[in-house]
Amino acid sequence: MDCDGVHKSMEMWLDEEMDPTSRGEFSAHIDACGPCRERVHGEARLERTIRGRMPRERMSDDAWVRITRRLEREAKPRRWGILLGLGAATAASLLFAASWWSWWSLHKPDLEQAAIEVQKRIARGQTKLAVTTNSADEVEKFLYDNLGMAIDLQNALSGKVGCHDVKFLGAAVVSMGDVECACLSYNCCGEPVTVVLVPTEKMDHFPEMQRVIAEGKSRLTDRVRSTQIEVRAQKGWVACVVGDHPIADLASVFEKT
Amino acid sequence: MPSGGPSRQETFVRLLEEHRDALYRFAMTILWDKNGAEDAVQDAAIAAYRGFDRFTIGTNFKAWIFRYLVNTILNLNKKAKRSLEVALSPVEEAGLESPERKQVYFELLRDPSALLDQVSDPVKRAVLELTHAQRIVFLLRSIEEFSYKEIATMLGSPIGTVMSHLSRARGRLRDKLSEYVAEEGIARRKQG
Repeated sequence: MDCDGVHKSMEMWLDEEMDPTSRGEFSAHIDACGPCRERVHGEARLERTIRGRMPRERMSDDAWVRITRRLEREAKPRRWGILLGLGAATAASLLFAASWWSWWSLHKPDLEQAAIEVQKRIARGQTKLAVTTNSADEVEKFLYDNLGMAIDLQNALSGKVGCHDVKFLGAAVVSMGDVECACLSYNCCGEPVTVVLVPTEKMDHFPEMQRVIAEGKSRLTDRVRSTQIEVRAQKGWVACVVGDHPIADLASVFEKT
Repeated sequence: MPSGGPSRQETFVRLLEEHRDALYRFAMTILWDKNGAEDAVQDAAIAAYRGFDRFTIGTNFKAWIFRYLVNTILNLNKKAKRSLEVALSPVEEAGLESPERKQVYFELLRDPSALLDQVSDPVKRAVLELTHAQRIVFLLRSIEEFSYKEIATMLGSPIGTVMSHLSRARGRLRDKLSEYVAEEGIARRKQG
């Protein structure tokens, strides 16, 4: 091996990557050649110096603890994976069933059931009232602006619900299938009451409800009262009232105004 | 290969702990970001743990776990990944471009410690001048002392490609160290 060969293969020599034959030739040359020996030893010195001066960062104990904890969590699914999988599947099924029931309650052609569901959703905060106010005037304005419903609530409810303490909470427009309905919410002697009003012309969407009205009795619960009402502008509405405070005569509440 | 949850995890953690500082130092020197380095080591450890069934106890765990760390870092830096897939042409006295710089370099070779002592943080500064790809091959070889073959396996590149990048990295590092020493000499002469 000559000087040029030494220079070219110096890195492999320093990295101890030369095959034994080449290494022997390399060693023989630098033993005999002073400048090459000086250069090679200098390169080795510099390499050692660089290595000794490299940053010596150490991983913090906090980081190490985080990693081991993460590994612990990683190990757990192997042991409990099947149980967790079954649990997750069961939870997902229940969630799906609940969601489906909630959706179906609002979309199936049963106004009473849907009205009960609306009240539950308002109580849970899932259905927000579009207008929240204690003013009957504001609720009336909302109903007129959004649904064209002209109703004199103050006059309609006054003294006719078996309670003199009626406090409006607000109103909203709720969709039941393709039908847009009015929703009123108020407290009657401290008890929450929800009224869902459906345009009479849309009642063919709720055949079960027509039977209930004809019989004058809810098939679900005493909490629900329904009746057909007439309001101003000659537009008919069916009111379905859900509440713990019974309304003695619903027809008289929503009488023609 | 150990079987069962706890013994498998304990074995892995015991092996990992032996190399925790080396892994962190490597990630830190490349990314130069404490949180990034910790995250890279954690991600590599999790990925390696998931593949631990394929590791043969008694073989080189350090090379095996470094492969995951290198992959994690290269996935963060696609440019470095692409760069390491391409072999570089050899360069004559890599990096030492001018005769003056070459002269300083030969002085540096005679007594590196004495000259570098006069410069502030020369090695750290020079390493930071390397590209991520250069830093990776340099650190794997010169600091962690992996063989060319082990590095080639980690990077999925031919040995020749690894050698070409290593040569460039060393050349640039030496050039930068010579530059700092030369600048320090000029500064001293001006003071004198």
